[in-house]
Amino acid sequence: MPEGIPNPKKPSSQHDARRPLSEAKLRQIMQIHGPRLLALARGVVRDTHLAEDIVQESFVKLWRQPPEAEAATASWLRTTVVRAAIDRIRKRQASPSESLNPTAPESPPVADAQEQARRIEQAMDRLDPEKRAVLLLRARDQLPYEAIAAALDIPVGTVMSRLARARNALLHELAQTENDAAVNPIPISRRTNP
Amino acid sequence: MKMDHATFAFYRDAFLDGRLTEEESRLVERHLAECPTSQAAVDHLLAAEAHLRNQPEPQWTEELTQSVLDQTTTPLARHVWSWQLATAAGWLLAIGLGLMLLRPTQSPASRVPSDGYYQPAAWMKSTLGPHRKIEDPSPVREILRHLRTRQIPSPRLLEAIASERQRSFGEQRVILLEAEAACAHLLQPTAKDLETLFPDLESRLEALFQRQRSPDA
Repeated sequence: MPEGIPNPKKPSSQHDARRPLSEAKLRQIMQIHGPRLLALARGVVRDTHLAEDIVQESFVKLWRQPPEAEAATASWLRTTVVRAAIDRIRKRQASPSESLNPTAPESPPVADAQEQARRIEQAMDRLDPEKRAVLLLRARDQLPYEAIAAALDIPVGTVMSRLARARNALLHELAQTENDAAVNPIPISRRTNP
Repeated sequence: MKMDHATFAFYRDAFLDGRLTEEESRLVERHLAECPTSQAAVDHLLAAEAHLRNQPEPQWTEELTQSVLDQTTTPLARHVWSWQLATAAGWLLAIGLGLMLLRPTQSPASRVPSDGYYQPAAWMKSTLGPHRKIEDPSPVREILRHLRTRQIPSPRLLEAIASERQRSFGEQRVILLEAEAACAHLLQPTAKDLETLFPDLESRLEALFQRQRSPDA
């Protein structure tokens, strides 16, 4: 089993298994893992407040029932956050009355790099959460396929196929955003009435 | 060897993830040099992944830390970790309640000493069991019913009556003796009617049964 992937059958080594963490320990873990988990959750749900909720809930879960081995804390948190993020976004999609607050606000095309970043964010917005998650875990966290498989609870082969589909979808959405930009070079929200 | 477009599509992700051999990588790079479409796709993907990788990490504020700590220090939260204990207590309570409800009821009939005669099973007396009228186990009552309906009593009932007779004295013993004789008559009927052979036996058995039911009366 690759390093960092939780093994529930492994006996307890460092954590006092199944006991809540001390406040100091929890605070330390939050300082270390908080920013990265927040970025991951925000990347999947595309909503800062929802991402904060998800990460906070994951830390509370960790406090209640930490993984048996302390070394597995990082991967346990990553798995918990990414699954919760996908779950929450699916629930939100099921109730269309709730809408997401986009993380990246629309910005005017000041420079090529910024314009490209905006288009990438728009394309990411349009992907489904599973595809966003696999892309973020691979591109941002640079995890090996095995760790992605553990985080998403899917086989390694599925990771490979899902990653390929996610990249195809991203290319498709990037092409769409470029077409949209060609038709409407200024975002609708920025246009002023004559 | 040249790589066609379909083969490139197969190798694209492995190329991006650095999972190709040197020879395979060279083939892909040669294809990219000759195919602007594939090169553009790879450029887009590399740019997108670089964008995702280079985005600054959001700040984990003290406010967020405090919010989590608040959730872990509330009196309720402090006890949530012992949910296993709560679950175990719940199970114990459920089992206890189940046993209490399934316990056989203590009806007056069940306090009659058993003499080998038919007793309803415990589950039949359960408050949760099928709702049915439980047959009175008194052999006197049973023999009376058999004599009235002229039904041949079972050997077990005859044994129960004999046992009852052996324990009794005086008039009660006589009545039960007559009841046994009446049963013998049912087994091997003669020309004479049961009423003629044993006059008032039914009423006497009825009186005996009532006395047994309420001995204080």
